[in-house]
Amino acid sequence: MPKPERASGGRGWVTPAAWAVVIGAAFALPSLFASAFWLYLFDVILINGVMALGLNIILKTGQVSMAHAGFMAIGAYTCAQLIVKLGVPFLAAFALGGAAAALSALVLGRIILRLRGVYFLLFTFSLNEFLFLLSKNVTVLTGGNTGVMGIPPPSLPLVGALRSKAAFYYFALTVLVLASGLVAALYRSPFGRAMDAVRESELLATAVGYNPMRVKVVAFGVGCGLAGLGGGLFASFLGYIAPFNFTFWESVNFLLMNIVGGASFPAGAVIGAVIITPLPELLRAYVVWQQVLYGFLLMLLMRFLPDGLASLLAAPARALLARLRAAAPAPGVDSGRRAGEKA
Amino acid sequence: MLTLASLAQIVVNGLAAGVFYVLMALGFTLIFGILRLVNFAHGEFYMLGAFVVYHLYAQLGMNFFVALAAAAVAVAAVGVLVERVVFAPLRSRELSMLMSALGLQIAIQGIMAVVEGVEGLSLPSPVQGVYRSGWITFPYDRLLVVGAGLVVLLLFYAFITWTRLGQALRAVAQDGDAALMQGIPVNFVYTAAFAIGCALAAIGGALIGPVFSLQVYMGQPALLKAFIVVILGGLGSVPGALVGGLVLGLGESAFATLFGGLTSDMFGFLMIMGILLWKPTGLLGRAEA
Amino acid sequence: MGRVLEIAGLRKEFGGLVAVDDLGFAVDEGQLVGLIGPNGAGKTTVFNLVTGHLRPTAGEVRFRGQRVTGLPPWEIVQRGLARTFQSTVLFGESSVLENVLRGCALRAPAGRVAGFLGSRREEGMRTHAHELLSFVELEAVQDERARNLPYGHQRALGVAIALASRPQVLMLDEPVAGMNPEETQRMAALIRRVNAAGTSIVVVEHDMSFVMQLCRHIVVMNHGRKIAEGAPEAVRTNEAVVVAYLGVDDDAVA
Repeated sequence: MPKPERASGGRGWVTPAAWAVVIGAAFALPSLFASAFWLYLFDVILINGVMALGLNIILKTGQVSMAHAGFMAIGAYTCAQLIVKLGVPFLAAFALGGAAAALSALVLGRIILRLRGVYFLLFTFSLNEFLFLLSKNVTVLTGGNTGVMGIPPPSLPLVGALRSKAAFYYFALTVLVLASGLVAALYRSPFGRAMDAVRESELLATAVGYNPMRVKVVAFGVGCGLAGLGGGLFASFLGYIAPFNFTFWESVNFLLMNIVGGASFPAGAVIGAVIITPLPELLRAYVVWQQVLYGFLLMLLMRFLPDGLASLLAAPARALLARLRAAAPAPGVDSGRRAGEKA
Repeated sequence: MLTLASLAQIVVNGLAAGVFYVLMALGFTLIFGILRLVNFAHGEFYMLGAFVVYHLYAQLGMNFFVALAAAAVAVAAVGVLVERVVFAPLRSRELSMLMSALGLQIAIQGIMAVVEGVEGLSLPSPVQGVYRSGWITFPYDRLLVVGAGLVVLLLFYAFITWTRLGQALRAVAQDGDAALMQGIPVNFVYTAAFAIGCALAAIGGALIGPVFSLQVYMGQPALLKAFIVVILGGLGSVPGALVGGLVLGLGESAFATLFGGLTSDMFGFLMIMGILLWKPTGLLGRAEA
Repeated sequence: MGRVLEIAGLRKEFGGLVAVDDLGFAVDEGQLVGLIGPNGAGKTTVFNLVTGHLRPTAGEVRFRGQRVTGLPPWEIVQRGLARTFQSTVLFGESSVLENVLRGCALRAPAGRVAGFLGSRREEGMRTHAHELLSFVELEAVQDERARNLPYGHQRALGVAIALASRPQVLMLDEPVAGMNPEETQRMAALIRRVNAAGTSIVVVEHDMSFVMQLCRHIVVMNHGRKIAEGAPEAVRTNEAVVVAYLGVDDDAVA
């Protein structure tokens, strides 16, 4: 998608202000929907949002990873075992979980990212399955089939343990907002341009000075690192993790979130998480047909909304922002406005 | 203790499994070679074949081989419908096709779970008993799998080599655009390829039904096996499916006898990853342009 | 007037097949050199060897005096040797402007706060990109999706992207393949403009008449070897060249 023209002149504050409103509303949610059911749902949505965002980074370089849940597992198990077995404080364990996932991705990435298209997909599929079987077998590290139990909720300095679902919500939301901000900045940076170039044509990218392998490896490392952080969040939220939490189907879910929400925008990943996460709940009313409906929904989405919701929303959102900008008061003289650029 | 007898047993078991794997993988590789689709729903067609034969043979008392043929035709018909409605509109959008295949897998499994229930069913074999010699023990129902499987494979070989449709399939797998320019009805070929692939899976399911019990979730492990075989032999390569199936069958048999079951699964996936890194196009596959 | 590109003893084997054998020639600063030969002569292989897309079996490539043999394509571009492609290789889904911007990224000045906050860097790139687009006369279609452009415009866009890295040497791979006479003349004029602005150029072409009118120095290849080199008139009447092209393209040998 062509990059949107930058806002310039005195009206550059409108888009950030719009985001601030959205984030503010998100922080206000627990006050409006205080029941245990809603808060649980919101918490899971946030965790999935972090996961989907990580996959979005990998997708942006044109690689479809089916091993995302596997890297989530690396982060989850690392974080959980560090806390439970070694008494490491939460923030350190959380960060180390992300680091472990990122490091594994960087090491593996150098070898596997030369695979393209369907071959990379099949490799990551096998990797996920292999990690799943590994976590069932290497009982000494992972607790085998029974997994890791008794993981305490996150504990932050100054604030203490986040025992309530609302407290966890604020923490997870902060993580998601920070991650989203970093990812958005990354996409707008020269590296973001490199990612787009490598995705659209590796050949041409090499001819204009990019090293595609380096770009893909870095993206893979960052994306899997986020997955590791998501795993840490997941472990400390649920209090219990086992191999069945990290199967191939979880990986498919994260991919689905990106497809449904629209992989070309980081916001799409989060939108996808918001839509996909409650789906099993929504379909629960039809218990017996739940699975069938899910499958049909998937096929319908692929047929009629292949670019995801974000692509549908992008044009009206931009139009709305443009109108807000036109209505917004400009501070003094419009300096720096080029002829021909949009206000 | 590796005696000559146990070695022979490993080989015999391995070949039996191998023939079955080849059947599964053949349909899968055909669909990938022609439609460029990683058919995640392949295991469900295998399952459908088994259930159709169950109803026709075990419940209605039809002759086993007639039921087998009927199952192949019925599942092929489902395949035609699915290809036309789900995949044809998405041609050339590989990721969308893949996700649709996943949706299809979920939907078919879900429908069958409602219709058939989730309990296991047992399908009696048309042949009973065990062949015993000094060296090996071989249940007759497994012999049936091998025998019938070999017949199907021979028929398929004849089809792909000597019939017009078979040659058209090969042409499209080689180069879709060139085939189009030669006047080959490419859309028809796509549908035919998908239907045949599903039929092969259904036959595999029907043959293996008597050996293990039937269950609506039986497609998953079968699909994984197909994956391994196809990657081993080369995505889209028919001889590759043959070689890959036999190699996997023998390899697993040896591993299971010598080391036990769970690790043989991990071995399978390690092998896929190794092959993809060393020679992504598989043992017999052709490098893509 | 130094030698900006020197190729010596270049050799490439594919298994048992020798695609390029003991090839050597040089490009002076500001020159417009043509590399021609019948189909299968090995021109594109030479092209890929020099630009880093293939590793030579033997031989040496020197760019502005430095050895660049076997370096990956992105390092060769960084040193100032850019290329275009024979088939259309573009960022098809992106706009024409975005295509050029991606080429400009290489030479964009690194801001003091590199990375995230680089609005000044971005502005510099945009100015450069607009200059390039007007140079290749594509300013009017800058917002069009690259794959929707007509063929001639796509090839011009390819040139613009290559020029974005401000190369000393630009190598063009069959720039007029598949073009009608009008498009061919426009491309020739564009190439002359680029050369006049100071960039040395190597044109690899199959169309002999195009190269004859455009270049003042020509290298001729056949079966992976150099069979002639010199001014157009000398090359045109060279016996080996006539033999190589005879029966393949009578019209070209005029």
